[in-house]
Amino acid sequence: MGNIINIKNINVSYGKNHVLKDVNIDIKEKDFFTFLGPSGCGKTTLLRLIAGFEQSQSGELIIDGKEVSKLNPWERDVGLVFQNYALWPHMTVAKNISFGLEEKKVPKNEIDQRVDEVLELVGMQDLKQRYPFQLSGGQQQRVALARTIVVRPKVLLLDEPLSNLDAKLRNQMRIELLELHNKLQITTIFVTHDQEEANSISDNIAIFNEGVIQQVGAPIDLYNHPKNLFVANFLGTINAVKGKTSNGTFSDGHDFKIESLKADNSDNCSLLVRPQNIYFEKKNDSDQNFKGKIQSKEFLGNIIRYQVLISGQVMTIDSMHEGKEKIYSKNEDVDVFINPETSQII
Amino acid sequence: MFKNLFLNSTSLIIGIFLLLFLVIPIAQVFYVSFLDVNGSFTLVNFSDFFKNQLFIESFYNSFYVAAMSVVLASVFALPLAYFTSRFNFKGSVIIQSLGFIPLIMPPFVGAVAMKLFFGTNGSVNLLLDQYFGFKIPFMEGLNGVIFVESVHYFPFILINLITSLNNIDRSMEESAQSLGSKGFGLFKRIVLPLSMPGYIAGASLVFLKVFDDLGTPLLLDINNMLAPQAYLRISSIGINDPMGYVIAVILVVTSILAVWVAKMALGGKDYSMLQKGGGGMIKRDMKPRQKITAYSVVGLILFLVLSPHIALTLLSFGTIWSFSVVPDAYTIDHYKNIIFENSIFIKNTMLYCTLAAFIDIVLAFFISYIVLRTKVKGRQLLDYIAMSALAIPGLVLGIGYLRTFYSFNNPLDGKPLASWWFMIVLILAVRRLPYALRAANAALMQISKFLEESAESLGAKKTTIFRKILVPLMTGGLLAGFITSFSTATVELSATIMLVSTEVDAPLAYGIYSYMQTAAGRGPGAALGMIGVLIVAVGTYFSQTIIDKKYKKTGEVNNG
Repeated sequence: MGNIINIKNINVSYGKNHVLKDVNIDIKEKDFFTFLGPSGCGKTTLLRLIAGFEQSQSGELIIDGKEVSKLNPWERDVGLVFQNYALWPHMTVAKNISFGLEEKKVPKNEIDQRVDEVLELVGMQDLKQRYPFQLSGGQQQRVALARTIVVRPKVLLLDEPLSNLDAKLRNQMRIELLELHNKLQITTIFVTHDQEEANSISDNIAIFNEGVIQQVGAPIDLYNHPKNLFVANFLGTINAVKGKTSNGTFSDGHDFKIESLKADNSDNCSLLVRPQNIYFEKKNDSDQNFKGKIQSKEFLGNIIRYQVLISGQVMTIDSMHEGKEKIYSKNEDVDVFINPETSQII
Repeated sequence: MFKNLFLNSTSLIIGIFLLLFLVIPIAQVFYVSFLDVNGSFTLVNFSDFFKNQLFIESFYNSFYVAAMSVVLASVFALPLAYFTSRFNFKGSVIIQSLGFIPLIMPPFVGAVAMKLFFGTNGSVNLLLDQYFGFKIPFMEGLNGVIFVESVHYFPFILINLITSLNNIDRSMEESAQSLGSKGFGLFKRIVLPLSMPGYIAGASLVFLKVFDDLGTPLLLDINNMLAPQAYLRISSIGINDPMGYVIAVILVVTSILAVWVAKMALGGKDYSMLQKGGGGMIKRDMKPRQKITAYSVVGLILFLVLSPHIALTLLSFGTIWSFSVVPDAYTIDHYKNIIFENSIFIKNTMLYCTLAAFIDIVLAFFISYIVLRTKVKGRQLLDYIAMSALAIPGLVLGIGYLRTFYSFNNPLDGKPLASWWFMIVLILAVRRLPYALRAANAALMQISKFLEESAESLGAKKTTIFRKILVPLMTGGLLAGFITSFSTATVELSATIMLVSTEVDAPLAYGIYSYMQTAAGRGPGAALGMIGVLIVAVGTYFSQTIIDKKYKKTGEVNNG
């Protein structure tokens, strides 16, 4: 499938504040694509740029083969769903939804039909005549979505659409969003700062930090093969040890060493290991054994998280809590195992 | 036990005060309007009203003037609101400060001066005639009232509209744009309906103010309107003539109706509460040509708004001003006259307004305490009644006082109570009580209940808490209330005009009115007006500074 959006060398500054720095992203048609990053990283700015509410100082924005940088928001055929929903309080649900169709001069009977269809799609057909203030947060969210998808935009832009909902509703809406996307097959760009949300919903993710794209890829690839420490940390807890690598052996310069790594020689690199990839018992032949001492223990429900001193490095180890496993106490001496294949040098 | 007795008896005293000086006078007006000569119930007075050509004409005129004032005020306000909200516009600050001008000068004060400025032979028309060969009848008949009122009251629409536009969440507009809407269509479908509540609130206020106003038509010599008719019936025919009361009732009913219609028009929806962000409309930079248009429109409106003040200043310093663009020569004699020779007006005003404002803050303190801090039965009613004085036209209250207190004699001099100067103090106090009450409520709401409870738990009695905790902490708010009540009372005319029986007892506003009746009196009248404006301006400034300071102070207390 081809790309529907090409973002090329986009730069945005507000005065001295350089908000987006030379951003390049290609988004495939029908993709569920997420902009992920901490607040203030520029992800919403890029989304609003695509929608036509921000201007770039340089770069190109191509939607469906057409350069749109100079076009007004109403000429772009992209639908933006706002974080606060932005439902018009003086219009009923039905009026809110039919607005975009009326603007496009769609015939009256077709408007009615399409409004009914989309209301059914989001399960709101009974609340057609309500006003926004008579709806719950989740219902408002559905109306906001319906209002945008009813005009069948080329791209659906969602600006942190779940952030105003409580945790339970958030999970439910996440599933609904995904189902809706599967049904409509509309290219969707989703902005969030929640990595769990991003992982669970996206085909691809672009990770932002301080206006710079850090890495683009599928959620599992990003998690397993982060390109830098920021991405590694942002997607979950990770052990990072600074040191150097030569001939496949990493050393922190003191006692900590791991051998048989697939990595180039480097004098300044980091070894990354996820906490669940360090074990208290040997699982593979290639596992390497270390002596460790338990520093502290945290019970988190499904896992027990230990801080363990290994050859002068304090490492986090997550051990599945199954009920029968051995629980270690503070200052207990332990054997730990790290597999070079699940370790990464960056 | 003591606590409840104290609170209950205080509530009772305040209740009786409001009953005597607000509820009963208004009730009297209604009651009398339904009485025939023999004192039995009748609707004849009302049918007489609608049979009388002059009254029908007056009713129509009042309605017409109020409606046209709304239209003209909108013409002034809409472009200004649009410029400030839609564009990055340097004139915004000037426009926002225009909002305070009606607070500083009620329309009747500048009415005569406006005639000299905009009348057939006034400055503007003399210049127009000289250079362009035509005149504009700004001040002819009802035009004059409409013009003066809308110049004074348009900021009510402006302020409400700007607030309402600034409360519109920017995403309201953006989501419409994202769905293909733009330009005027977007303005009509999204911006206009969302700003309607603000506009209607402002417009209905203008309508009410103009409809009830007595001073402006009186000073412009327009008698065929409702308020002047009521005044003339009572003051020239006598307090037993039912028509004055019928007109008063019609004034009140129309006021209530106007508020009700405005409410209905809004369908009870306040959009600003429903939107989350705010931030106002999307702002654009102006193109050079737009800039020129914007600044000229703002300049013109600024000139109109300031013209009563400019004209009044000229008049107060002018020797003779007739058939000329500006006065022939300038003098400070008018000020000397009203400060040294006829100082009675200023002295009376100082005395009346100080007493009235003092009564106000005492009442306001206790009412706000009772309403916000106690469970005394009927406490909400006290609040509603006290605040309702805002909705009652001053003229109606004045007529009510005259009727109610005329038949009682003052034990001090044996004359009717209604002609006693202290009644002017009371009517001013009742009229301005809502201002003081608002200030007291705001002050008390900022004081944490824990401050009182901690004193109580340390063994302090209610009276000690009042004295040592509440009053000191509320001083700023009460002072601001005092100043607002005081300064706005100095230029109150419509209620007091009914109660002034001799010039010796007359306050400043009445002085302006009586001076302005003669050509020779215009100078001193304008000088009195200037003094009044000065008092209100200084008062407004100080109460604003006190409130600002207080907020800062309490902010520190809360943070610490």
